[in-house]
Amino acid sequence: MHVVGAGVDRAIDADTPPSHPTSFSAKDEVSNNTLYQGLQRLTVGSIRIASSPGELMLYARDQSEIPRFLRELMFSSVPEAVVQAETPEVVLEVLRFASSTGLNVIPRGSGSSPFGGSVPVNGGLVLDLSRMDKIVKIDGDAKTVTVQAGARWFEIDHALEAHGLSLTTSPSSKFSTVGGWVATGGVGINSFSRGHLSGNVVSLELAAPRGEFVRFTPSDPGFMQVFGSEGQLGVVTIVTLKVMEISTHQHPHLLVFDDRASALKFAEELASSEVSPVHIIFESSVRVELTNRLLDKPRVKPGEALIVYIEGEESETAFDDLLKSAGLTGEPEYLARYLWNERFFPMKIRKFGPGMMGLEVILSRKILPAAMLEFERLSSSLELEPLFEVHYLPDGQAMVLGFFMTDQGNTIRYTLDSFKSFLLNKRMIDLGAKPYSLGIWNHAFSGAEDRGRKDELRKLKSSLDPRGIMNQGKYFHLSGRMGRLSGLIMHPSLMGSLLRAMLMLSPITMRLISRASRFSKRYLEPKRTSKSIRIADECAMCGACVGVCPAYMILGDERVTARGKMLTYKAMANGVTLSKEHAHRSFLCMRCKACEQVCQSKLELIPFYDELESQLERVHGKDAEEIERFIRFVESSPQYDELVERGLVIGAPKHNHGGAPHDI
Amino acid sequence: MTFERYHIPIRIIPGRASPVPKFVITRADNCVNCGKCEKACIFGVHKRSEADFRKMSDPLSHLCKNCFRCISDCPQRALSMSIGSDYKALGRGIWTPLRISTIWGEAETGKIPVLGAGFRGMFAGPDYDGMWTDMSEIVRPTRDGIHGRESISTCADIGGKPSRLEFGGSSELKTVMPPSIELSIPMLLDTSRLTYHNNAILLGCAQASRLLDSIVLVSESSITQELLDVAGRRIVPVISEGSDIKTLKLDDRVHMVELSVGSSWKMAFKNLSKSYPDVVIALRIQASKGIEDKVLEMLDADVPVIHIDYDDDGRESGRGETRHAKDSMLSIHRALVSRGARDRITIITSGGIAAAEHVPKSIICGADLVSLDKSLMVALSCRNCVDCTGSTCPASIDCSDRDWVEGRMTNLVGAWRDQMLELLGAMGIREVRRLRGEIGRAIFFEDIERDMDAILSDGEKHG
Repeated sequence: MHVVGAGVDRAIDADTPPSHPTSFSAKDEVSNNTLYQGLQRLTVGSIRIASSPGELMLYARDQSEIPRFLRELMFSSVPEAVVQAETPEVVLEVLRFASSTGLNVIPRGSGSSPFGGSVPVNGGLVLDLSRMDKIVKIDGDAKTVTVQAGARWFEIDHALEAHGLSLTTSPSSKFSTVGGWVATGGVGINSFSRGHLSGNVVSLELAAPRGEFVRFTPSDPGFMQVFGSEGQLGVVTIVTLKVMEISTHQHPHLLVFDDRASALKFAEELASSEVSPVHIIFESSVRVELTNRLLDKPRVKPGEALIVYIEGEESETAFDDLLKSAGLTGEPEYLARYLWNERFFPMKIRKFGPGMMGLEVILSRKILPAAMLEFERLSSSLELEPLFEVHYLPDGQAMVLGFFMTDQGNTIRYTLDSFKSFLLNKRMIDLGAKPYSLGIWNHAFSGAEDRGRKDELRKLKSSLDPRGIMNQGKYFHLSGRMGRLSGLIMHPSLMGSLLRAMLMLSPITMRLISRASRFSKRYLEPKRTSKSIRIADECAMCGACVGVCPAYMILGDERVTARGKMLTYKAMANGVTLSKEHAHRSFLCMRCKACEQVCQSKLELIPFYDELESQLERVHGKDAEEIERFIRFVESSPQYDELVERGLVIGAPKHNHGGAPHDI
Repeated sequence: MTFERYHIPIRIIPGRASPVPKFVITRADNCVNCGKCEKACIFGVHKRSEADFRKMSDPLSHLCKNCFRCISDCPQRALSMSIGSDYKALGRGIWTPLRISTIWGEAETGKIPVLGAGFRGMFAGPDYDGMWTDMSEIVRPTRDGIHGRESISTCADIGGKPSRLEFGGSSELKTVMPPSIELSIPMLLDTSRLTYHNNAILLGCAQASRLLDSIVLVSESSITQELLDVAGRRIVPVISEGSDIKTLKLDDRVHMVELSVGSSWKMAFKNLSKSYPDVVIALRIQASKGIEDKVLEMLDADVPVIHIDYDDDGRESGRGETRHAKDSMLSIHRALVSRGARDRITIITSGGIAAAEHVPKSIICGADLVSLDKSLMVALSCRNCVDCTGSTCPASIDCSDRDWVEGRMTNLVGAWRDQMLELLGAMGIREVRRLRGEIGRAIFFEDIERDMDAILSDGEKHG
């Protein structure tokens, strides 16, 4: 990441990155297909093309683990090539190239969404933007920050902090990219007071496949269409965000209620009061229980929890008064601060499965209690124990995250559970909820999307992307390996009626499903041969490690990151034959433990790497010379120097002596 | 044959025990293996692991020279330095960790130690530390010490000297010359006081004495034919107090003998001189209160050599506060001088010689030669443990090889000799014989303190 100081206007590509370490790219498994050659002929800026099967494998999925039959039967989710662009110019050039050849382009940020929006359904070219991550300009006077679309939220926040500024709103994964959030949702932390992301964007720029950059400001008619367009219009390249001064008075509060009704009642009261909290999160008792399981001992009082974030002394006083009048007392501050901090790590509890499934929907708070009740009722008949996290939104809306634990190691259970997840989703949609993002898996519920909005988007698309190369086979209709046939299964009307029928016949369906579940639980215990495969299953695939990995920064190959190694291990466990180059790539690691530090699932990664490496070494040997060359190269790289000086993991304790890094 | 002005052959003899580092560098768990410490350290403390190049190996603390560069360069502040607890536990009394580790370094390299990072100790201390040598002649041609143009003699004689020579009518010498030995250095090796020794150590010492052109004192009971074969006339038997002199049979090759004595020594000395007129006979006594009178008594009995033993901290034996060798020796020296007989007798001192500068300081206080004992033990990596038994030695001294012992001792004495040369050079003295009793070339802290007190109290009186 390159941070440019406030007020300093600098051309984005003035800072040319160091040339790629050719000594390692000699190891790149070069593919000779025509697409690769065509991409190589592009002569703009810095570009990295990945076309080896090992690396492409990583781009065939996102945060969610796709049940294998869906992945392999229905879709060609492995792209033909991946291009990592580092400047908007490269992005535009790649789009022009794709346009001229009619090539399907799937833009991808950090791949941390679970809905499949960045996963190919029909092959094509994945445009990885996670390395186009410069913070272009921080304007302290206008209170804006201009970033490239691949910039990750935690890096922006860190850069802003130096100027006494902070983000107004961010997604719950701070390791995701700005462009990714623009394209998928825009609802997240602090949305209650700050509203949708679109209200916090000053302007944005899109590289349109028709061959030019298009700039949008809030007054432009197409502005709103870009948000949640899921890569249909083009590639978001530059975004200017509103920022704010860091508040001097910040105070999260934790309230625990015995019953849900009173929790929701108080939350409603609070939402309409003069307190105007920054954000309100509701967590169900099951969620609280899991939080306690993560801690050394149960520290949070069991019950239904509200986390209220207050900024400003006035608001604080008003909140205190409200509490007093309601006869409530908050939990200890340290717990409130802990839970507030944990808002960025919702996937932590995934390790109890290992695996988690569920839904993210937006609904009116009027139906919230009923929806949760229905969700629970249906879940219990499906033999699931659901948990909720509800983020309050303005205008009486709420975003509901409803999860249940599953076990990725048990294929049948996992497949059944993903089916159950569809049923639950369907029921919520029927109640009036809207899916947060479509991607692939929510396509069945795309009927709930506003038809008018869809038409407008289609109109804008035909102007920006006349040849329709962007993220083909998704959003408007889903198509896959068998053309539209595979998409048909997920078609709203077909899938919808199928699910409806199943729900109607629920007594029978439920009995069947639960019998199958029980069978799978009893007889098909997960075939975990080692601790390592469990770790690989526990991984939330959130991509936090990718953002901090110095080896990835240098090589751009995700196989060197923790997430990449997890996938390598899983592939190996599934009997995939890995190439020697792929194996040797896995050894290129700085052993800096940044991944371990940043891992929200707190996985013991270093022993995992040792195990992976010893297995790889048995088959492919180990190229000690290349490792040494790699280490020496990284050590001498100024980029790495900068990173180490800053601290690999932002905000992590840099040393064991206390105090700031430079107050010796 | 190549010409060598100074005769001691030096070579690097690494210790056999793992080094005890003074500065222990610790790498905390938050290390990110970034390798900045490797770039920072010019002494090679930090290296990447050979087994896995991606990880840093444990710091080689014994190479640390206390420069703090790695610590200030570490972006994680994962490195810290402390004074090693093993180091701090080294030695006792005047045998401080610094002195012990310095001797180790000298025995390993044979070079003058450079401590580096400035001197942060006190300018004065007890005993020898309260004594400063005058280096005002540092501008003279001798100034360059061992590298200078002028050769500096470190030779020392052992044996009585007649106060005058008598010649006969045809100019022949009529005086019967007493037996004497000339050594190239004013230091001799004393194995009789070692807390532990075995055959290999004795043989190693004997070999070293040849290289050093010195002598080695060995308890009479420990002398073997092999030892005599190795060093012949350099072997000096030490006969314990109360041994039957009449039954004593000295080897023909023995040139000098030491007789440990208590209060009654006259008969034994007389008998021994009669039986071995060609052998240098030294009386060895324990220093205690009134040692001056004993020395004068021996002088009157024509004892040619007296070896005065102090304890390991360089103190006289006895109850309560006892004198340090510095004061004791000065007193003996003055007594001899006032008798006008200083040159008739050779004084050897031993005990409490824990550093190179203690040798010339002893000589300034009146010794002709200095006998090394515990320092030899330390040169063999001894840590001066309280419960020394030899077999449980952390440095496994009992397994020392004789050639290794030879090398370590040669290096130590060589380094000490070189430091003496530097000192003599800076003092403008070309011969160590002339340093003996040169108290004018030393400044004693008590004297300055007394003078200052006088000035101050004078000022109070008048002001």
